[in-house]
Amino acid sequence: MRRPAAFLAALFLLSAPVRPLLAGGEEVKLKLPLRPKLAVTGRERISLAPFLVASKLSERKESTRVKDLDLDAEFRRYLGKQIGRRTKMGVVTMPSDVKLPSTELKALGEATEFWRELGSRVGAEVLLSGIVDFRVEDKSGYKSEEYTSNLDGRTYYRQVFVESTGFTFEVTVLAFDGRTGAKLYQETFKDQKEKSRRAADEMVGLFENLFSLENQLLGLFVVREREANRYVFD
Amino acid sequence: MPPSVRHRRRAPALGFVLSLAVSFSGCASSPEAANQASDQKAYGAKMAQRGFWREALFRFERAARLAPDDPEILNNLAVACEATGETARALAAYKKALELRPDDSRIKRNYARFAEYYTSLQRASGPTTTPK
Repeated sequence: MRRPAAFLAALFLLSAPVRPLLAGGEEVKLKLPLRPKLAVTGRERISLAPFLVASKLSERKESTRVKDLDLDAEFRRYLGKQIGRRTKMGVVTMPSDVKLPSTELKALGEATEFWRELGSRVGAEVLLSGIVDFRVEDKSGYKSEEYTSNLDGRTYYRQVFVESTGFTFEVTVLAFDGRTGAKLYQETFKDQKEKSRRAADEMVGLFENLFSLENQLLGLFVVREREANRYVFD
Repeated sequence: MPPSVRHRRRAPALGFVLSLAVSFSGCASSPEAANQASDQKAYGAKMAQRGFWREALFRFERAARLAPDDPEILNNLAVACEATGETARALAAYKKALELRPDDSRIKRNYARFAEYYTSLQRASGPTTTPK
């Protein structure tokens, strides 16, 4: 007679507190929409004003190939193409005679009158500008490497000289309201890559940096999706 | 048999009945409603696994009407709301689920992940362009 009583008592102890642990279920995947950082409808007309080029504003020495590169034009061409392709925004061509009112980012962000006039001149609701920088740096140096000796089969460490080149692309994007000239948004995007000296090419490096930043840059204007996991009870 | 012994024997059985009552108390008003809610929850979970979130939401809503204080159903309802973009409803459902079962690690984890997403959404709704 004692056993069933003990069994029932055990059930009593187990039933309520342990029930949540025994409940079935599993993780499911869901896609969550990520709103654009800039609150736009997605159908605005946008125009890309010139970007300041950091290397031209400083005394930094550049290799001939980087010097020859028109970073502002390349970046605007690339970004304009991506916006045209992957968003529903209309890209309005910026007249070539437009000159920025300042070479300082802060002053650029405060030049409300200039952006308002430019917006009404080109007929764009959103204007983009900012500052771009592309650096090619020598990242060569000694690195520790593991190797197994053919003589005694033991593992040793040795120092080897590795020649590599680093590419850093950085852009600070300023977005302005073309009707009021007010600054809407500012964000800095940065990407770094390192390549072995033999595979290093400045132009390829630049575009690899840009491809890496593509989604982040377009995230300013378009809704993106993010995959997430959640637990669902069954 | 003396009455005191009889009472001692009945005590565990009474306890079991009580525990069952406790188990069902958070689920639904009647065992029938609890069963229906459980069926809706299971079907909704199947739909969620297949990615049919509208159907899953519908099922979890029905389950929640039958068992409004079931934390598992509320958790599932919150997940379905999240998947269909009803973030404010998801937040309320997660909160209620956690109130009812504050120590459930799975609900807590879901809520933490949701909170991260919800915060990023709030931050993203930044300045707008001037309307025409």
